[in-house]
Amino acid sequence: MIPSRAEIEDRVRTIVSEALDRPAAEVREESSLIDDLGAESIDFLDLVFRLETAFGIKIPEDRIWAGSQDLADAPEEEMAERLRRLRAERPAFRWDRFPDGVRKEDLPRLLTVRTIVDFLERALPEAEDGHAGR
Amino acid sequence: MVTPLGRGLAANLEALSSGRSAVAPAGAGEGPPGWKFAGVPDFDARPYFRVPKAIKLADRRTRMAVAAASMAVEDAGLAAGGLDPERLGVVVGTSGSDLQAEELGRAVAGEGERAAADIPWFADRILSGLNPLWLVVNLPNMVSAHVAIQLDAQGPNSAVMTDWIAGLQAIEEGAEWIRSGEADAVLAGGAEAGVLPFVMSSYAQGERPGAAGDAPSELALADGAAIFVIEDEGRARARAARIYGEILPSSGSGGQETGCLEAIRAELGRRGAKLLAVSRGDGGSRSARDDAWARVFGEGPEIVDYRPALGHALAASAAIDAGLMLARLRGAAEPSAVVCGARGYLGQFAALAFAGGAA
Repeated sequence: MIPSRAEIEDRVRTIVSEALDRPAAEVREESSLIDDLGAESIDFLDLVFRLETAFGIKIPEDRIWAGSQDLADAPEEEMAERLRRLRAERPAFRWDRFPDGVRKEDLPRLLTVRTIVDFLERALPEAEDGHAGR
Repeated sequence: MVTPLGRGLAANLEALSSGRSAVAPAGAGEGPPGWKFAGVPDFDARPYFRVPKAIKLADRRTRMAVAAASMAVEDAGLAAGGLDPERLGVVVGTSGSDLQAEELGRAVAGEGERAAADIPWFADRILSGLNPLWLVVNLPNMVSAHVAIQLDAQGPNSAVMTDWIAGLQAIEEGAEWIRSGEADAVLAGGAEAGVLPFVMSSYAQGERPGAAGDAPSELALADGAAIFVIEDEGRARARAARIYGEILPSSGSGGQETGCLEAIRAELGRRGAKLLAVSRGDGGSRSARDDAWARVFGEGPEIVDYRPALGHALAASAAIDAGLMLARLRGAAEPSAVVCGARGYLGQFAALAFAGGAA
């Protein structure tokens, strides 16, 4: 059975709290994983493993963190346009943290707890369909 | 230090003086029948970690090492000395990791035979079933790395893996860094989690000097860590730090036990220091090895053996001995010395000499 969004959020907050060693009360949906919760690159690997184990699905990193690295190799002259498109695709990112414009190296700082919850809300039914179709 | 008898030098000295021993026979399911162990009980490492998130990356030996290093830094009053973090080094001896056997077991659970024979399947299960952080928990140099991170030691950093003499060699290396000016202070010692399934199986399968058959009747596997603050005497005195002893330059290591000990005896003679006690640090049988110590130092010094009380914490064992032996120098009325030895199961030998007293 696919868990509700509230159930997903509840479990994700517990996992994030444990993985990043933060009190549960500090882990809010809009918390930036890096800026608010102190995640480092190595923690993103840990988070994916914990989420995979808890939810019983494979999580491709290019999907769960999609948008956070997409512009790494983008040519400078395309940056403004690419950022504008990304902003439209990922309205839930913490764009408000960079009112003077975001640089591509800042993109991972836009990831939030909600990024994970949103991903799982999409991915869990897909995984369920995949199993049913086999 | 962290040992099966307690945390901190004072707790250990008190336990030893009251005749306590942490060595106990393996309980049911804990190890092969007839084996003895001296484990360090789980403890809350949080008070010792400046960055608590890193505890998830620290295995037992690393937690013990960070705790021991924190205690050493506090005892030495290092924070008060205005030390440049880039001039604080770390070197820790260890012989490996516990490899998180439970996590490995979970990853291949229920398929024991296949896990042993089908390598592609095993690799797939390990890759998908193990947390990617597993590797960075188990790398041997992570002990030194975490001590450095938690104590903000940004200077030279190294790990020594020369089995049972590693802890002493790390202290020797740290002293050399001070002499050569590579660092102003060094956190050096040994850390080991010896009460582990992989360690048990390797000692059960391998041939160990002094062991009869595969039953390590004398070798009680143990956990423990001991870390020292090593620095120039002038620096320590300027800070009015508590000084335990001086590491003598004749300390050394190699295959030649008699040669190492003779060099120390010559230096003690030049200094007019009285040798109070020696700890040979053997994990196994004594046999001919007693002769080298007796031949070089005679019957005068007291012979100390902490193995019956603390077991053998492999790479950390002789470093723990060194901490306990140093305590004997405090309060000595005349120039005095103690010598700590270690012998690896492959025959390597190391001996550290400490001078003190009448200061």
